[in-house]
Amino acid sequence: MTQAGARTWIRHFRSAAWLGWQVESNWADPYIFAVYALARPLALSLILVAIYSVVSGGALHGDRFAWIYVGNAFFVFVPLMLVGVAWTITEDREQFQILKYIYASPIGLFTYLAGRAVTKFVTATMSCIAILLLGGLVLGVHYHTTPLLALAGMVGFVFGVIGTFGMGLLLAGAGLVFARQAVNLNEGAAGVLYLVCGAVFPVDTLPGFTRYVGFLFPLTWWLEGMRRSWLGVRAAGMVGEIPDAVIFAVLAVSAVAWYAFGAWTYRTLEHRAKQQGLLDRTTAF
Amino acid sequence: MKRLRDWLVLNGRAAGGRAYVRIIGATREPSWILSDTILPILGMLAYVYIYRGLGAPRAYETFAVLGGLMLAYWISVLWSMAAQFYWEKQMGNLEFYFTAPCSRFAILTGMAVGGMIWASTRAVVGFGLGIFVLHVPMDFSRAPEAAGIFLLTLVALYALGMWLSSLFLLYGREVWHLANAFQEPVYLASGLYFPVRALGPWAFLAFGVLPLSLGLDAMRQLFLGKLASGFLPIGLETVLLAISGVVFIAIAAISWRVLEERSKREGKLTLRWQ
Amino acid sequence: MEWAVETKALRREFAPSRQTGKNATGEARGARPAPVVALAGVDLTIRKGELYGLLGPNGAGKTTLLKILTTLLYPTTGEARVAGLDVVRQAVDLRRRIALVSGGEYSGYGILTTRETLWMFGQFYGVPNKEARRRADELLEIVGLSDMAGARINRLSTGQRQRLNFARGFVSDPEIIFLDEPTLGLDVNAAREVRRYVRRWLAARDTRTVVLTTHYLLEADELCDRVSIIDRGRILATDSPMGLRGHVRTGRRVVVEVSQADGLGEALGALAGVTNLRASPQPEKNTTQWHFTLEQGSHIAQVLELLSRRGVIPVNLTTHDSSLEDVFVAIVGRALEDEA
Repeated sequence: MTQAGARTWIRHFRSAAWLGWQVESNWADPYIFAVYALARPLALSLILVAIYSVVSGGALHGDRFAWIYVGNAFFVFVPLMLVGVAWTITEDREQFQILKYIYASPIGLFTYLAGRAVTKFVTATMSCIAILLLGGLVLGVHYHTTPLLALAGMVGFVFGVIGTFGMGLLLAGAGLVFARQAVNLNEGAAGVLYLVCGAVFPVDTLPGFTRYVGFLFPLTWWLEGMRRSWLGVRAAGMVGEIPDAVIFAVLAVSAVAWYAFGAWTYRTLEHRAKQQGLLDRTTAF
Repeated sequence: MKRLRDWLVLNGRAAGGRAYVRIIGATREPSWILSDTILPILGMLAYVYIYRGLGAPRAYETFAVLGGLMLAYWISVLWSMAAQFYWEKQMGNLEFYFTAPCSRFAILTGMAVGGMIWASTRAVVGFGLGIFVLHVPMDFSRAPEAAGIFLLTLVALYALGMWLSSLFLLYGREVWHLANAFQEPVYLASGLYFPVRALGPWAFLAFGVLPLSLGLDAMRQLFLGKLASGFLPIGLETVLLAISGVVFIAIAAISWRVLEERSKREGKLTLRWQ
Repeated sequence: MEWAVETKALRREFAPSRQTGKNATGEARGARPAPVVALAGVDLTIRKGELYGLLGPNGAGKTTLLKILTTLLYPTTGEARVAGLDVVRQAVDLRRRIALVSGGEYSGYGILTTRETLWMFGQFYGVPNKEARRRADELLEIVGLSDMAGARINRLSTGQRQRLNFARGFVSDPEIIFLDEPTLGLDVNAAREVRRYVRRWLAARDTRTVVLTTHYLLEADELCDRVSIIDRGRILATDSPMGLRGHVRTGRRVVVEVSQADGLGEALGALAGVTNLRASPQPEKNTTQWHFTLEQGSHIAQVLELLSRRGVIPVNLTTHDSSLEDVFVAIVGRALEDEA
């Protein structure tokens, strides 16, 4: 890419990011938007707290609670970023009916989606931090790390975001091709990941072969990596027996692989959408 | 009498016409079977496994199954009915409904009927999975009463949805975002996956007006008895559900009149992308 | 007399939203600007059986007026009655007797077929099933979509969707139909068919009325019994298209084409009653066209005498009355396509 090309790309990216911010936030003043951004993830965390409290008879201390809590905190990137990226396609095609115009412009849908994802990333990060703060300040979650784990955690965080974005691209491609039910597909995908990736219970809890499905996704490695870097606590069961270095190494490889796969799938489905004239199709009922 | 009959025929046809769109639409896009039925069940499964992972008594898994059942209807109320006029406005269809002589409630009822069919498919699959695959404990000796509570809850939920739809009409995107923002808080407040008693008495009293809380708590007691950790007696919850249904219908009627008038006065009725 | 439509001092203002950013001089915007006046006191009456046109540029207030008359919008002040019913207080009864068609792209429900769409809208008006299906088929035939009866809307072209949208308005067989730029975006043939159908529909029953908004002068001229010219929320003139021309002394347009032009321009310009003279060379024919306006048609004799005196034999000579466009420019002060 030449320098001029890079400048153009940055300009396109910035426009898409600005648009993403406008779309997400222009309906309310910044304070209300902040509440909105935090209410859902905090409520989800409190549901888990309530469930744990019901089972433990009110006790919220200990490694097991902290493990669940921190996993859930980082899982917010899934609905906000992964589903959010895919939702952009449906929203722009069905609701605003401008997808065809975006596509016909030189920005390119890929850059457009990346830019639109920026606001979702920022919102997800704010939510995650808020949940972690609530855990530490109110719920007695004890955070503990070492310099090496902290560094690994920071690098691992970046890979996790890359992997999540890659999976979001895959769903966005599906959104181009499938009907408006792609929205439910996105939500369902988040449900699958919540189930198999050890977000709030050890994967060993799942029956039979399903306990191994989560290993295919970078999210499983990411959540475990984040827990270890923030808490120094390991999962119960087979994931807990995997050394730290392996966790972070597999995270890096699988995140890059999923990003590549997601991007390739997106391009393939985009091509199919163009062939079938689906870019401006509305299917609302 | 003739006027009443004409009114019933007009609105019955309108409801049928709008329900047709939803029902026929579902059959023409086969992807809904996967996306609308199977995948959402996974969320319910996650909560079952959370309880298993924590070593909780098996009865707690029933909470997750019943929560998944009612969630299907709540999602249908919120997004397939309440928010629907917002979508219609964005798509440019709203003026067709508002220049037609049929009642808005007829259109909403049509949407609700269509949505209920979808939600029921999802609910039945989840419920069946819970009983026949996961073998969650359930006592069916009081199933008829549970069915009655379920229907009362549906009526109240859909009445609530009709009220919410009037808010979507005027406030559009703001309400959409707030509804989005309060999905999980509603799950929390209504004790969707856990006994609402865990929230403490004051929280229940504050949120007990939600038909979801009342209906779920009553159904849990009917299926699980004392294991349900019910908050109020079933009889009282039944009465409160019936009252809430009537109250929400009345609020919806008033709200529609007021907010439709306001929308027309402020010129927001057909204003898109507000 | 019960009018089909009657308005008295109808006014509609819109409160604009607070503007962000900076204005042209670089100052930060912040104060809420003054309300936008979309209708500034409109008085009009439309007879039953009439095909009435509202002609005006974009932003003139045509759509705002139609939205009030079809109960989608309340007026800020003033009154409006349609079919003798108040648009605010008797809206429910009114909606049984009217229909609205808005031109431009129609989204609809992509998943339904064209026939199903028309049938569905029939249901919203209480049309019995069998009758709704019959009307759907009939209307699809009229708008040239009968071979697309089983096609889903999301497969239609833009023009086909617009034709379907037009058909939708008639499925309830309303007493008064409001057509808001119904031929917008249609090709010439489709637009002609639409106009032809509107005339036929109106003629079939004398209780029917059509209120049409357009910014196509030809459409207003060809179709309407009476036309109101509206601009910036005010009705500036109302009459039949012929009558409107008579309101304004725009004279008679003349085009003389000659094979030689030496000094002819000066001579023509010196004649009494000749205005707006301009030459248009036609090099491919080796001729010159002289365009001008005669204040009075009888002045043509002077032109002929001049040509005869100079021994100039015209290759071609045409005259025509002033067009509605001339009327519009004379009344509004600018062309229809000029910015407001």
